[in-house]
Amino acid sequence: MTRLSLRNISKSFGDVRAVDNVSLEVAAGEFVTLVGGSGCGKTTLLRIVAGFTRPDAGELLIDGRRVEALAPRERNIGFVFQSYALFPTMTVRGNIGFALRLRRRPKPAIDARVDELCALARIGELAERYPHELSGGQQQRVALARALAPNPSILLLDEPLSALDAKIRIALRAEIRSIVGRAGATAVFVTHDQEEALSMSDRVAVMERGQIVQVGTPMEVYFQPVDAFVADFIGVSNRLSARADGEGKVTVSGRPIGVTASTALSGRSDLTLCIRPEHVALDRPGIKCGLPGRIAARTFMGEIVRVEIDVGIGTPVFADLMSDRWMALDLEVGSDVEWRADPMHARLFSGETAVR
Amino acid sequence: MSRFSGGLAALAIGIVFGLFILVPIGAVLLESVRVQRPVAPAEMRARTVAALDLMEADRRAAVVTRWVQTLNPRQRMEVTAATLAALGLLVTWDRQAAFDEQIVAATGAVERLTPEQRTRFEAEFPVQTVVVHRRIPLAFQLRDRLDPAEFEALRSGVRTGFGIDHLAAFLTEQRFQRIARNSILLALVTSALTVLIAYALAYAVTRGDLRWPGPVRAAALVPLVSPPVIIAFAIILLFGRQGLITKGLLGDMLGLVNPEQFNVYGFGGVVAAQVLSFLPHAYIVIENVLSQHDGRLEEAAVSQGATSSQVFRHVTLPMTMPGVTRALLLVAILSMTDFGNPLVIGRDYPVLAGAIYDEILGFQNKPLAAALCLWLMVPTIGAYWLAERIGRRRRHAAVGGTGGPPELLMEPALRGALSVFSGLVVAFVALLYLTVVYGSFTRVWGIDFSLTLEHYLFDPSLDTGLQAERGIPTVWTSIKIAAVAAPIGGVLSLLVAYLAERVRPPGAEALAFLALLPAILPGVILGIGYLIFFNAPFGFVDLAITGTAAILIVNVLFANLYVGVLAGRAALQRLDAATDEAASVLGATMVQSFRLVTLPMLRRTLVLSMLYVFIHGLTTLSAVIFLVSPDHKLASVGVFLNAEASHYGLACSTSVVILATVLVALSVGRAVDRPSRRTGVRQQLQVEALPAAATAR
Repeated sequence: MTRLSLRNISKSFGDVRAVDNVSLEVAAGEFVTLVGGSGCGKTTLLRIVAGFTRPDAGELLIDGRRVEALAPRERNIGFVFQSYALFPTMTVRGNIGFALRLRRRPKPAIDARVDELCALARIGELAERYPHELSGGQQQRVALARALAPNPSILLLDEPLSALDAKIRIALRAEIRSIVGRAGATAVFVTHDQEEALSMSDRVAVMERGQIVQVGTPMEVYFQPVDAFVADFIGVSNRLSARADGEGKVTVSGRPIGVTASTALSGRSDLTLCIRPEHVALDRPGIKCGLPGRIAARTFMGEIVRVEIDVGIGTPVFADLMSDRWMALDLEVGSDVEWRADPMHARLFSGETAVR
Repeated sequence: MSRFSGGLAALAIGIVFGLFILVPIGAVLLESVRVQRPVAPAEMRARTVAALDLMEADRRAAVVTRWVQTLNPRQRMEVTAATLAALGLLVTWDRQAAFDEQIVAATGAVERLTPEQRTRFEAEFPVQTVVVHRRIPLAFQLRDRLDPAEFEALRSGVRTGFGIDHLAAFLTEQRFQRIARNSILLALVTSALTVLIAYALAYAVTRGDLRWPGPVRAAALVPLVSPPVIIAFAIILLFGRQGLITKGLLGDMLGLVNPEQFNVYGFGGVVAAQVLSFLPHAYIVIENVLSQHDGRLEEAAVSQGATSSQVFRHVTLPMTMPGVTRALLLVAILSMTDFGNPLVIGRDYPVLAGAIYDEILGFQNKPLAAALCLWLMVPTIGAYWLAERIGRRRRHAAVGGTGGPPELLMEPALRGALSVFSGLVVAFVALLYLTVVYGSFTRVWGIDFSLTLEHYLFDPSLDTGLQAERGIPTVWTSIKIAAVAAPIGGVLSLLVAYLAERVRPPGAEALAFLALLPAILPGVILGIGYLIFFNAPFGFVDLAITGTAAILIVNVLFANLYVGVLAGRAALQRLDAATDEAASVLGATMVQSFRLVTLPMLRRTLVLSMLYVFIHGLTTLSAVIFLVSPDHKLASVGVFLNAEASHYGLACSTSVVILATVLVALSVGRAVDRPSRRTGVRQQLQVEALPAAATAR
């Protein structure tokens, strides 16, 4: 069942097309993330769904009902703000019960619902505190519980984790996902953090310049990006200029790399080869058949080591190695190496789909 | 957001503002171009004949005959002249000559008429008798049968029209030119001196590492919440002809000056009174810029090798210059629109605001007063415009500053000088206020210094009228009126701020500007505007509220609304707008969102703006002085009238009671606004927070 439908939504601020002809369907119970860089239109899109911003064109349906003309309070949505926006003059209980008080629910019913949500969000012991007496993570849970209180059709979350410390942020990802899941809510989540998007969502919509460039499960957008922009934005990618000969054999700076292009791309010289660092293999020279290079730098990142290889074409190639593998290779900056892109995971784009 | 209810609220408030702010101001503009001209003789005759026709024929004949018979010789001559003119005949004698000569000449002229002319003359003469000399009794005889406009036209014989006579009078009449020059000179000297002193005090408090900064700030700020002209008459009590210092200390004890020749009632006295009265406004503006600008700049200058005077000249002064300019403009305007001080201590130095007061209350010449108001608006609007421009530029310059004073040691000599100067100012202000307290217990200042409570005790059986008119009992009226205006003003102003900052229906900015208008324009304008407009709103005498408590309440309310609007907008800009959006997604209507979410967060601002309206209700003078009536007298006006009439005992006692009331109100406000667990921020209400917004104007 479709909970939310966006059909050809557009919104301009002056000359800037913040949202450009966007269409998206969100099923009931689904957790969809809008991800993109700053200024890509993701927050504007979310505020259009909420009703804070009115679209210039397009249709917006919640549970099959047209809602463009409705005020936010008539749309039955929940909204979690980046800044939490808790009411400083009310306790946690007051904040969470606010929507129910407005709806004139009887007090016992409100108390029961607040207690239920406090338990759900694990903030039961904080119910009588004021927002300024809470930590950032606690405030965020209160904000989430408050948004869920009236059983909204859709929960909208606008970068709710960006104001938190890195560690709490990661812990809260799972927490939010589980609270939303247990509440059975449908959620649209906005973030600029691709890791957040991949780890939390049922589906991810990648946005750029006001448009959704790809929608898919986290696995799909990670492993099958539709263009070089998505490949680069989701995760880290090496982008290498490549050409394919008549039979589809792909070469990077004149050397074959074991990848075969589709017939559509055969014979073209304006290709971009995207390969993730974890799909680049590295070895001591002369051991395996590969392309020559020299280690320009290395970054130790804990479980992996990211190696920067100078391959003589201007842009370096990055390769991620497990740290123990790196230790075993016994290489250092300046060493000559051989490298190889895993043909299974190499993605090839023609010039025009390669964004930028 | 609920656009509809927002628009509706804006419309309702717009109508209220239009009625109580815009229309009265418009009435002043209209009044200033109203002139009265004599009605042409032919029209006057037609009007008189029409009125005569309303009488029963036999009664008319009897009355007219009696009127003709009772003309004295001079009137008879004048009617003769008018009759000849009405018939198109020449008046042959000199109308400027002595009356007895004219009377003889007129009789001769009538005798020389041809018989035909003589018949017409005899027929016209009774009519002209009524037109020239018996029109007023006729009007009163027919009062019940004429509508008010016709009655007035017949009685006065003048017609109200439009013209720029009064506006032009300001430019052509010499007395006004002198008055204008006085006003400008006074404004220049007062603003320069005030800002100089305010800068020194603010610099000492923020940078000078004073041992007791508290009393310095208190001395600089207390005139702000004081009754009107308190400083002016305190100066008179000390330095006047019966002054404690001029007569008592320097004259009688030391023999240094002859108090009879020491004249405080002039330029010097007015400047002294105004400088201390407006010190708070300048002080707040300058303290703000000094404490806001980033002290790291001074530290950087010192690290580059600058001496402290170089730091001041090249860094501190240029950085604070916008504030200095704003303070100069602000004080210049306050000085120019102030009439309390000049009227009490500067009778020898007439100024424009005082002239307006005289035209209204002395000569009942409202059109001329309105025209003078219009001229007074020219510099005030100019200054507002200039201050706005500077404000805009300053915002660009202030980007990125982190604030905090520099952690530099001031040179001991400078620090000492600042301390001594601040101490002197504190001592002088304390002396003035103690003098007022002393004066309130003194039987007759300068004559009989024996102590008494008679200025405080109100005994209706002993009262000669002065106490009830201008003494302690009026404080109670003031409190009641201010207490009604304060809560309404507080909530209304925040509602306007909320509409302008959050809901933004069309016209919200215009509303906020309307609320600001009474602050931009000279205070007398709203007073005169209310006097003119509410006498007969839109021509309906039945709607008049002049002479009631209501007119005082609405005047106090709307004249001081702007503080709440400015403070509310500033507070809302600091608060996260998302709370409001959060309320709206959770299902709150605009009204619910305002009442349940925004208003509680703005509790401090609400208390502040209510206090401001309340305190100003007790201390304001400029507008309400035109609106008080025998039944509704205000204490602030009483203080002024007593001071002007040299009833210093009553002026002092009333001032002391007003001051005490204000201090009680402030501490109640502070108690209501105690540091709150809710918002977490330590909230302390301070006196200077009151006009912070006011001085931002």
